[in-house]
Amino acid sequence: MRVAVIGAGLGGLLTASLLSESGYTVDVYEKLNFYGGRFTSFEYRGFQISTGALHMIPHGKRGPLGKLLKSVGSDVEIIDSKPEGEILLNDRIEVRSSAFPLKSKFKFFKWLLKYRVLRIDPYMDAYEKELDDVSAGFLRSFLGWSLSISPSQIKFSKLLAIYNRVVECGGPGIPVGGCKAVVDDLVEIIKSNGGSIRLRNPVIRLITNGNTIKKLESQKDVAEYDLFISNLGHKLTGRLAGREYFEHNGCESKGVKYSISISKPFIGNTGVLFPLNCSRISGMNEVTNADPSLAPKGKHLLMAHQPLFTDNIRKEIEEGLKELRTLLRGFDYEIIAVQSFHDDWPVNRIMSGLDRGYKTPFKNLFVVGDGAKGDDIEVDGIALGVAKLLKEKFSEKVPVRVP
Amino acid sequence: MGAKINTKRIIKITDRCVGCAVCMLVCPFDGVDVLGSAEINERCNACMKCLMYCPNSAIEVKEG
Repeated sequence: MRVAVIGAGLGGLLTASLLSESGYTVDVYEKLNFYGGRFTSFEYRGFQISTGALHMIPHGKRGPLGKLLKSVGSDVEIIDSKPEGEILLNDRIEVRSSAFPLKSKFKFFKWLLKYRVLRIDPYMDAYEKELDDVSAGFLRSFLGWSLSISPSQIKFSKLLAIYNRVVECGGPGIPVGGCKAVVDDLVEIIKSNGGSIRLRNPVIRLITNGNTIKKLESQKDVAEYDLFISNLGHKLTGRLAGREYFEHNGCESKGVKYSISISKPFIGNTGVLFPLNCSRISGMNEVTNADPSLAPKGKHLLMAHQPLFTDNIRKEIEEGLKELRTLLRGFDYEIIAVQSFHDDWPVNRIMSGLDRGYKTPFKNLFVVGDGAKGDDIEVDGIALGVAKLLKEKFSEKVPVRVP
Repeated sequence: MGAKINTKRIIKITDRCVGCAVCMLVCPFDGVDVLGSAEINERCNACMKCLMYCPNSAIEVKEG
């Protein structure tokens, strides 16, 4: 069976590698000069600066992506973060149950009961007001860091799904070699199974017959396939097929990433630091504590993430830089890259909780990637979306086991 | 040696730029600055590598 994958981002490559391992013949079409989308990196001044991701996998080796990578035969090493996270207030407090007052924990169980029994499921800003300052601050920072959203943009039930997965799979991990090592490995697997990666070959349109896609027209040729997987999100996929079945302008989550060269470690461990005194910077990591090769000798790569809630990006960056100057006072550092993500190169094509799954109006066209995630964080959400598609549509041929 | 070409007049950053800085990362001449959006600086050699890597097709060659 011949499969065309449109878009060589993580979702496309992951699906392509799993299908190719199970005997499908897979061609991956990519309009850009490189594969990996927002989950790869380029060497810049000796640092591996990513095109989007933070060189981190939200649930490390035990989460959906870690499990799928293992099942596809990838040998990328993932170093689980220890501690998983710390809250920076006046001192640093490790993120664990004891960091939060009993009163707030009771509140959580009260909401859980209200949801389970009465199906009461408000957006989290309604509940945030009931929390103490540390718990509310952590909620805000965690959502900003992991999903680039605010509490007013996520329902309790969706947060609960993420909380349950954190409990089940644990916190983040750092792939050795950064995100590029992951996509490089997936491409190797696809090629070793006879598949191809066609860079600089954008797909122009999908040729349909009723509710079936018949052919794919790319810039270089027209080819027939049995199955089509799109990594472009539903909006762009619909346009390629000539049927705009799902327009979602303004639904993407937006953010800014700062890459910082620093001589001495600021965080000093492999976990996430949540600076609660900041209103813009939601979290930071220092991946060189797990993999020193991501920076030149004698330097660390510190990254900070800022969710964007307004369209005045320059102003937001100025505010973010101000906060970084305060946080890093006394350290020898240089901000080497400021990258913003929105519109068709966003943090997430569809804000978490608004994903519409992998189905399209066409019976042999499915969407994967950050426009069709499962209820989980970033790349683990992507992996969960891929796993769901394979389990529901290809379970006889592709054995997939994810949490 | 001829006079240095004013590359700012050749390379155009359009409003499709989101400021992802892929152009800055791949530029062999350190010819792009990015803060919210990209800006070509005087080190640009008009090698066009940024055009080939821009995820948003936001970099164009000016005509005329």
